Amino acid sequence: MSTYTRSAARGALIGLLCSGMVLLSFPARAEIIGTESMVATEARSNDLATVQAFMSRDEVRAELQSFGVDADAAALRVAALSDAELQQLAGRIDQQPAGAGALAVVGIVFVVLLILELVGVTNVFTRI
Amino acid sequence: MWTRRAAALVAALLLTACASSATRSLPPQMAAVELEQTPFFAQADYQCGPAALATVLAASGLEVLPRDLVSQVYVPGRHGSFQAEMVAAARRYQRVPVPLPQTLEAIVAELQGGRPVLVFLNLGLRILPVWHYAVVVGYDPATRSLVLRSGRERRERMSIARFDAAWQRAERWAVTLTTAAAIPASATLQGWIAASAPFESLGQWAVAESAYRAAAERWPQAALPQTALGNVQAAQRKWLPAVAAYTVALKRAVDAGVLNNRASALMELGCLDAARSDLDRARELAPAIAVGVSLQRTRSQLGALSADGIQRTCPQAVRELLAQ
Repeated sequence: MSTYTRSAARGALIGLLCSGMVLLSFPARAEIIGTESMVATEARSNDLATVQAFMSRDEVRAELQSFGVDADAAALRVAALSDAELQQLAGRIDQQPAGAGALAVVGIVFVVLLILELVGVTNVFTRI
Repeated sequence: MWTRRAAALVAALLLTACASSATRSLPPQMAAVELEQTPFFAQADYQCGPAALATVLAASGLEVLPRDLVSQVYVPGRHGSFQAEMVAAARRYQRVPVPLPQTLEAIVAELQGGRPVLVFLNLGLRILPVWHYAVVVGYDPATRSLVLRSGRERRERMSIARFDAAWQRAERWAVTLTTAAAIPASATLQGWIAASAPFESLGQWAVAESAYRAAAERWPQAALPQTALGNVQAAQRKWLPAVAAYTVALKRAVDAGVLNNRASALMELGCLDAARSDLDRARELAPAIAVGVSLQRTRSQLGALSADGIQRTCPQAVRELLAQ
């Protein structure tokens, strides 16, 4: 599925959920603004942030699974993420920098970096 | 004579130029330090993330091994670990992951405070990145180098210049782990509360509360720690202590969000008039949209409660609190 259709679908679903939230006004339940959203750098509508966090949790869990994390672990991992961390990962798991270490370097990249290493530009292979 | 002076001047200029590029933002008076007792776990395959995280968790007094962390931070399909998950996993062990200011000085200051620093590095190039987690444990001004627990090296020495370049290519990301009671020297109030607040959202009230109490001690005049303490009480439906904390916060700084939260807590206690007056005050502050949405909801709940015909009396303790 292309990124465009995915984000369009996501947009439509967020819209749907938002309008649903407005229509179904929940009975008396104290509306406390949590500390996390009070100190968040981005000012967003609470509704939108809640809906997005809800959506992102599912999205990130599915993405982790598609990158080989098993289902139970993925659920626990997503539950541990803050709203800001969820936003950081949602839809970007394939591009997010993943720390692996120098042992991960293979193929043509290895050759290029080895040459750069020998001329003193990089520092990848010290004492391996 | 003249030529010797000129030569000395040129040499001095060259030396300063070299020094300033090699010791970027490290003041010369910072003393050598090495946290030798920091444990070391050699990384397996692509798993520098679990190894580096285990190092800082173990250094903070926990018994954790890299293999315990693999299922929490390693992503097989990406052969690596994400920064977001590294800090989230630290929280699962009740450690507060505090981001450091992006200076070498902040790293060395943490070492001098006895805490090793988890860093993210790009050992390759911007276009050919080699992402790596390591733990800085030492600084040696004599050789202008840092000592790291890194990969399969217990004591990897890296010149400041090389470290700085690799760190720069990874956006200068550095994190230190502390218990909720011990705020690092370099932390800002906003930064500490932001690092602790996820505990509240994740329902770990006790950790959040002790982090906020530590903040209230460190910044005794600030409103934010009191607000946060109020929020953690309110989240557990302890409405009276919540109102007490919000009241202290509001005496220090009037804020529409805090007024909204106090109004909600007051409503739960049956103090509808006091809640209404908080909401009226908040409206006059022309709040941001997000806060305005919450205020609107709180007001409609208040309307519903006022119209349900049930007789409520505001407890004496609350009236005394508000009258203070």
